[in-house]
Amino acid sequence: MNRTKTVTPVLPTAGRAGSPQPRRRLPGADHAWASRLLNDRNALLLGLILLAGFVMSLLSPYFLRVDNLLAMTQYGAVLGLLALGQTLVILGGGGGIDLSVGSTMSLSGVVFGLTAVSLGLDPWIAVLVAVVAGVLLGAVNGLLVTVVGVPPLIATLGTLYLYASAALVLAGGVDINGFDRSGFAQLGQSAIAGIPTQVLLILLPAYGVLAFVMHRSRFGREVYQVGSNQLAASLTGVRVARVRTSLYCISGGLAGLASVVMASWLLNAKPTAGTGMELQAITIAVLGGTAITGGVGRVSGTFLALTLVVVLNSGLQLAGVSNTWQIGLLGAVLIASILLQHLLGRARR
Amino acid sequence: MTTPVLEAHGITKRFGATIALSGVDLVVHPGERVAIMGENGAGKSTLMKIFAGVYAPDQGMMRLQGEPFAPTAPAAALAAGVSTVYQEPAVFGHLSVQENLHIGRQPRRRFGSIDRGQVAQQSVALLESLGLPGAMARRRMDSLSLAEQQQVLIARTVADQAKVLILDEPTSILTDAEADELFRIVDQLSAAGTAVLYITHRFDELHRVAERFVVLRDGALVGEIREPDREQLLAMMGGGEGTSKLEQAQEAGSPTSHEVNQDGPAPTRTEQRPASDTEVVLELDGLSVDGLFDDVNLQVRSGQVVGLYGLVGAGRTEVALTVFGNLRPTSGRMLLHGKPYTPRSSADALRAGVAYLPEDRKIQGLFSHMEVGSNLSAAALRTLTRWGLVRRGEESALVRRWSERLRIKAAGPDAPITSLSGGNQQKVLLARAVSTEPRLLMLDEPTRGIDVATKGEIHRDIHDLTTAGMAVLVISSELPDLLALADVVHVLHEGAMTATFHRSDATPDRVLRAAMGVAA
Repeated sequence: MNRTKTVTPVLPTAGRAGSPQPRRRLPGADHAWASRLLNDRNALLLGLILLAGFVMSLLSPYFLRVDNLLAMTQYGAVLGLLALGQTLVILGGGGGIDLSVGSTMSLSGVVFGLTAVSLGLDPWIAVLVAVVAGVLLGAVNGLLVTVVGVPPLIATLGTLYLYASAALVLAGGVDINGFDRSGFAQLGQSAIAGIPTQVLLILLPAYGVLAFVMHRSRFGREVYQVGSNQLAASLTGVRVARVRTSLYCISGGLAGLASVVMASWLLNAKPTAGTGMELQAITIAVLGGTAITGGVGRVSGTFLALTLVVVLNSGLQLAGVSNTWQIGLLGAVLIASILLQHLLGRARR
Repeated sequence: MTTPVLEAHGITKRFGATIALSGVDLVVHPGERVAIMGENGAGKSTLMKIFAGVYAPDQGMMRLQGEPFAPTAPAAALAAGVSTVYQEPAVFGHLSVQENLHIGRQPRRRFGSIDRGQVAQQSVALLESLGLPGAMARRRMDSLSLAEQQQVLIARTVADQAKVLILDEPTSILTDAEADELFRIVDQLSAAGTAVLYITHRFDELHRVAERFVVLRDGALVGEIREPDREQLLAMMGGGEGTSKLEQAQEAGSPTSHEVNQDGPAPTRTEQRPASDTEVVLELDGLSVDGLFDDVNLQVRSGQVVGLYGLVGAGRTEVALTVFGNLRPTSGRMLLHGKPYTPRSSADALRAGVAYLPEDRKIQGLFSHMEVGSNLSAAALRTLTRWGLVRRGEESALVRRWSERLRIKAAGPDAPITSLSGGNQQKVLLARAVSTEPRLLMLDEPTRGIDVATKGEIHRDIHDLTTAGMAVLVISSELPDLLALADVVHVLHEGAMTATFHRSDATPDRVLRAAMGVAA
């Protein structure tokens, strides 16, 4: 419509396809940093992380010790992989969501266990098998959504149950133990220069690759296009179904990778390893600024949100706050961060 | 003189640092029909939204029938008697017409349940009082055409006992015949005492819709006149700065005037047109898609503009979508550069050198969360990619080149696309299509809802592109525009081609008759 002339002056931004939120200049704030702080969700998250870190260091004297800070990140690796996949699926729009990531992780974990223990194959081959299994499970979701036309919420709710029970059936209802091959446990239990191996060698590289792909590649651009306006995307030559299916495959593959990290950490494959993790993954994606309607958000936001959640969880643990409070706090942070952004947004108008 | 139904004094509205309206006065009497005119961004819509309770003015006061009027929300304005019908009908598609007519004020039975019998009865009576078919009442809202939906919304304002009816570019989605029906209804309402405020960009309909013409420019009232004198209105809207805008507007509005360039008189189009010696880029041979259109035959040559005219629903857009690979022909064939052409997707079409500017800017065109640059480069992205990565240097060069060439007014390539005016958004989409350097360019309603000056610019751009050898297929509901642009006009009526006119023998009357299926 020609009359909806938004009189929004624009900040000169760094021109990334991955930063599509329109920003408004603060009246009276000429410093770019001042408006950034209030306009940029990443800056908000960073502020919250610092605040949480400060509070936690008051609650527990151990919190700020380097070894603790590094150990903390260990807990984030599995959740981080799932949240990154979730972010991509949601970014792709069309109501995209992957409720099955937790079950996908459980099932690929069992596949991993069976390959490595029951078949006795080399654990590194089993890693590959687990990731491929994850991709295939993701492909089922993607095809259900794009080819059959099942709404994502329903399709992945269905596979959530299917994959969960398949994991239990395959594992015979018990944990698969017996990973003690040399080298493999290194992944989940060792550290390089104090940084847990699964963070350094899996989570950070995965994040780096995804951030690069989303910012620089044509595929990344197409994800934002599809998420922003699928009709317009298809009319500019984007193969919408293919892009969306790929996103589910990536999410599944990352869940497969997460299952390997989990197994190498606990040295067993639990058929219920991922139960409940899908909702945490969604929470982190949304906390990171991914619009649930798609097209808006950045993987860096998800990464910061993950950091915030990890700081809160481990800080509370150190301070001896009961587990039951931690989940509640996550919910509170999610709502508070959205409220804060709304209030700041309103104050500026 | 009667009491004015609506008075506004010193209305001022700011958005951040931008002043959208400054000290606007307007007095409207019952039954008066007032056209509000101005270019995009002149403040027309803002003023209407203040009347409608969407925005509160920063300064100024309003009276409705002599009483102070300061609506705090659209519902308050509606209750007070100010109704608005927006450009695109906002309806409850899954409900019936009669339910839509009664949303929010259903007649109740004793225990609070809805009295359906009365709903039906009142609806039929209401529709028939406006000369509309009463049988419409039972149909589902989304089974209606846009024109019919608009009629239902206007009927609703009658039920609301609107004293002031605001129509925001109501004819931009209508064909000429449908617009005539709208004018009839508006006349009837105005005769019954409803004041009508009317926003339009179409000069040809001015004398039909209003007896008073109020012009806004840059948020301020420029003045008003009582005769729809095109020259005078354009001068008021454009601010009299130079004549270029005026000339462009003339070119846009009138099929007979010659194209005038700022740099000096350009040759007239008829002189310049290669008649039939250039290469045939697209040929449709008995092309049909079941249920949409049947046996369409046409050729588009390099350097030629071919127009496709027809009422909404005649199958024009569907023809373009078939050529663009989004619909499968059920019979007939397409030839591109003389070779069989069977695109299976937009991607295929783009690769073959066919580009398409879709008809609905917002729904089919814009990536509203993204920036100007990534919106512009979207269709050409394929050619800017290497090893799967977007080559940013080439991308920004392409964006810069086309922004300059089409004179897109934006804060920069990183500005959100939503920060642009509608006309500039449309230019970005045009740039998106032409930046793929297509051999065949299909433009679906390229100037819908765009201010006069931008419309003239877009016409000039299309002309430049064809001079450079592009083949262009233009679909438009605005007959003067189409006649000004096209060398050949094909007319579709209910999916069938009813006539073909050459530039010399295409008169509005003959084209319209063919479009309505009336023998010439």
